[in-house]
Amino acid sequence: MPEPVIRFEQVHKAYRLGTLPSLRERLSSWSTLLRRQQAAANDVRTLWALRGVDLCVQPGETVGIIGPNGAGKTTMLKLIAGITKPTSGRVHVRGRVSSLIELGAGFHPDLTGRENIFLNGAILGLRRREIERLFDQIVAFAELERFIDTPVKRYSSGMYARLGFAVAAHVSPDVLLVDEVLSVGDAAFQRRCYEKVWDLVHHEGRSVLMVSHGFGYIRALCNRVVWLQRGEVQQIGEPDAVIRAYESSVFSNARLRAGLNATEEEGQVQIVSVTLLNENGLPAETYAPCDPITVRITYLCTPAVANDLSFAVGVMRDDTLNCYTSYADECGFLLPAGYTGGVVEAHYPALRLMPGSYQMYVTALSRNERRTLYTYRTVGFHVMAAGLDIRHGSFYNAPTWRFVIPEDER
Amino acid sequence: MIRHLQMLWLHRELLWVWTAREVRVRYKQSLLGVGWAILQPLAFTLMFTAVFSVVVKVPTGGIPYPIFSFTAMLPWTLLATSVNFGVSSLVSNMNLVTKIYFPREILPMAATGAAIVDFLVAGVLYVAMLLWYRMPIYPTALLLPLLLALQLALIVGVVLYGAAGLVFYRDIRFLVPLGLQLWLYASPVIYPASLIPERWQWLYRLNPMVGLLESYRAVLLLGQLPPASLLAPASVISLALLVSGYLWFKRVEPAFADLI
Repeated sequence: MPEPVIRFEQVHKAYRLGTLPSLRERLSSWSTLLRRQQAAANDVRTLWALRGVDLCVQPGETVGIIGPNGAGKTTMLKLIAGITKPTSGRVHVRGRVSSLIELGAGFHPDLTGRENIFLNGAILGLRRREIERLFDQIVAFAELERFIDTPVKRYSSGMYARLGFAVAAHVSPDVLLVDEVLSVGDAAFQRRCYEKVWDLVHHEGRSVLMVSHGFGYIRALCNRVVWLQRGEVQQIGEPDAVIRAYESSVFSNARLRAGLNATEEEGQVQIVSVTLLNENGLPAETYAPCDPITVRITYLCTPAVANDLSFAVGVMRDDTLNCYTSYADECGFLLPAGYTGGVVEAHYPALRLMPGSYQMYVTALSRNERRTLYTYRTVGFHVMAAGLDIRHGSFYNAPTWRFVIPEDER
Repeated sequence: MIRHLQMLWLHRELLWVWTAREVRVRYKQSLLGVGWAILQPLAFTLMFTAVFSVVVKVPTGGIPYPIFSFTAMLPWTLLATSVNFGVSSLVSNMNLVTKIYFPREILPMAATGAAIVDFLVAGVLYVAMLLWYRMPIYPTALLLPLLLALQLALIVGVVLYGAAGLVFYRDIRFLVPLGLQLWLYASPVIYPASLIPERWQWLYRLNPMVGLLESYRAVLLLGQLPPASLLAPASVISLALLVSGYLWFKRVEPAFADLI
């Protein structure tokens, strides 16, 4: 067995919540020993981002990390990249780590693409000559030949992502860390990233760690998946099994939260398929924050329940937050009587969700005995956008703005 | 310590690139560009010349006042610019510090590097001034690199302390302009060190800039060797600041990304 490139031994990482004591507070606490001890005792607002994580990654492995928001995924990558140190336990990393933890980190907006390639290469520890040798490959991969002498502040988010990935992937890292950033590029670019990652792993024997909500990529690329839940490794193993376990846990939490419970009438209604359609009416898995979405439900039912049937649809975030749930009858929609199957569509003019991964869940329920559930079904989808993060809140809603000229100045 | 220095050596390219970036970004969107490097110390020198050679006479030992003060103003500006930009370098590049790893001392050191570029540009003006005033060029000027090296030790030491300190205490941001102002008047930039009464000299010489600035004047304007009684304490203090500053910086470095 070769020596692992990454080894986590009982890694704990704590973050202090709130602010640091200011100089004034610190000085006044020096004044008496007693007060300092009090301050230490009060210091309980600690968030444990990781609690006792063990992990070994061998050369040539691709490991996916999944889990709800706040599970510690990014913290793990930051520990591997050496950006932060564990509170206790040990992290061993062998070789050069190249990280794509956030879009455009390490780029300076006022410098051109060319200058930024050299800057980024230097951050990753390359000599000028090595960067010069790789320069053309990087530019070609990013498809930015025409814009290479434009300051990157004029780049679109897709161009940023392309340049960032191109540099990170071409510096021949021993370990490549990818956090969610690939989702910004267009489909063709994502495809090439996928091939590049495949190349790095299978032809060059590098190791890749990726955090993604796009389980499609994780399934296709990873040979192992780590499921993190509140800072602990919940499950680790073969991608399909772990992803399935994770998805079913998300939904079982969701059912508990919603107080739903399938009854023995399950089987009276069968939801044949649930398809999510984008604004062009085409099936899609990823959406922009304000995109419209249509939920197409194909169902069959027995005549016994046909006239009592209603549907509810809703969106659940991957940390089981119930974003919204709507009942067809409350929206003033009743299924026409006498049909034992068909297609029902629920159309949202705008999702209004922040980037992340979500489940669209559909439940078939009894109209008369409100909320008695016949059956349910979920479909995952992702919302992606650059430049939106936790500062922008939990939901996406952008007002229109205007300036009102004061009365007396008109 | 050795391991840290190896890591720094490995990233020497970044120090270059980042210094170039500092210079370019600083002047890219300003009208005068690199002209600011000359204008700043020049304006101060003109101002001080007006005040201290016309209004109040400061004894300069027969050296024209503009040359007398500019000789000290250039190294002083090197220090002031480095400290100004260096102290805030970690905090103002927080998106880098929290997203990518590299030896963090590169950021404050590159701020010093950029200040050296300014220093060299202004140095051209200085040479022109020497010629204009028909000052003799002394062989002792060859000691300049040594003095500069000592001053850089002092600067990097102070900047490392300041930059890391600012991560923990934002109050330092307000202390910097005040501290620099006080330090300027506590250093023989606009007046000679001999103006300080003998009984305060021991205290005065604890300021390493005293020994350094007087040495610059000695080797450039008088053709004398640096006064040992001034340069010795300055060297010891500067080197001590550099070593202790670096060690402290590396000790607290792992906390930066969590705090910024």
